[in-house]
Amino acid sequence: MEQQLSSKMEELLRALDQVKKYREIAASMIDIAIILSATTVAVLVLVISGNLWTIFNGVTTIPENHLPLSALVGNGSILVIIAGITGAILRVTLRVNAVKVGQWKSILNEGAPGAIKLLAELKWETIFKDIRSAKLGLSLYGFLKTFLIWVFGNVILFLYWDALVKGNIIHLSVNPIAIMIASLLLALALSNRDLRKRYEQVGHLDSLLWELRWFDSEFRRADFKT
Amino acid sequence: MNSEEPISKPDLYVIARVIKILKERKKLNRTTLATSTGLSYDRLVKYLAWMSEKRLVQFDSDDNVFLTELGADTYDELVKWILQYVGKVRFPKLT
Repeated sequence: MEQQLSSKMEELLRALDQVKKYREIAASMIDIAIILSATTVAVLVLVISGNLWTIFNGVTTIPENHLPLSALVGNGSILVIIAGITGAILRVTLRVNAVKVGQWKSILNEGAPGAIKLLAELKWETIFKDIRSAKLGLSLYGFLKTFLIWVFGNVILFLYWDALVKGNIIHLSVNPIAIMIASLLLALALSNRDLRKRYEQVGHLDSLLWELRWFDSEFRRADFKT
Repeated sequence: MNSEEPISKPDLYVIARVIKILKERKKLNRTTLATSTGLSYDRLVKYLAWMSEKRLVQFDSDDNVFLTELGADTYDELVKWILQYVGKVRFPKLT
């Protein structure tokens, strides 16, 4: 019976550890916003610098190697965007991996007394708040990832369509609406699995919230008589 | 906590620890029990007084502490009582 209690407690504490990790995703949103803002600024600086070069020098190629300036700015922007998106995802991953989990293991090894101590130390209101934050963080992160793929797809498709038109390979002028729709479809196709996973995780968090609310109210009302 | 004050609201964790150790080791003197449970001697004495009053533990002629049948049953009941609640919770797979 004691073993049963320990393993049930382990299940509970593992679920709460996972909630802590998910909550960290929500907390990383500020970092992501900063990284993406910096990326946007860097791309704008690159594009404006390219335009200023053209205005002041009156040429659209770099003199030394005759590279088209638009290609340089375009490829540079793509690299900056890739770096920004990679940096944002890496930042979230690092923060989530840095969350300390399993600190309860040594206490739970004590058996039933450890389980009692851990249960007594649980701060239910904080746990419920964390679950709500985790739900929000997971949803936002899922949508943000799709949105970033969309933006990235937009930029790439636009630049390459433009290059193909300028190189006289195709004779259709760039159609921004077609690009937006194509990149949106691409983004949805690429993040379909991820979005579905997030949806399921949010559903699981919801059911965990209800289960724990029930447990908290029942356990609080109950009284053990010696 | 004043050292003269009796325990009014005992900590279930401490009681469970004392009982578990007594279950495993059968009979112990207070100093060894204090060391095993990680409690200060004074605090342990207060807990033992409370537990003795509730007939969970008893003392032999050498002043060693041992667990009563009621003490062992209470521990099992406590585990069963918690399991009754925790056991009903279904944890979704969060990965």
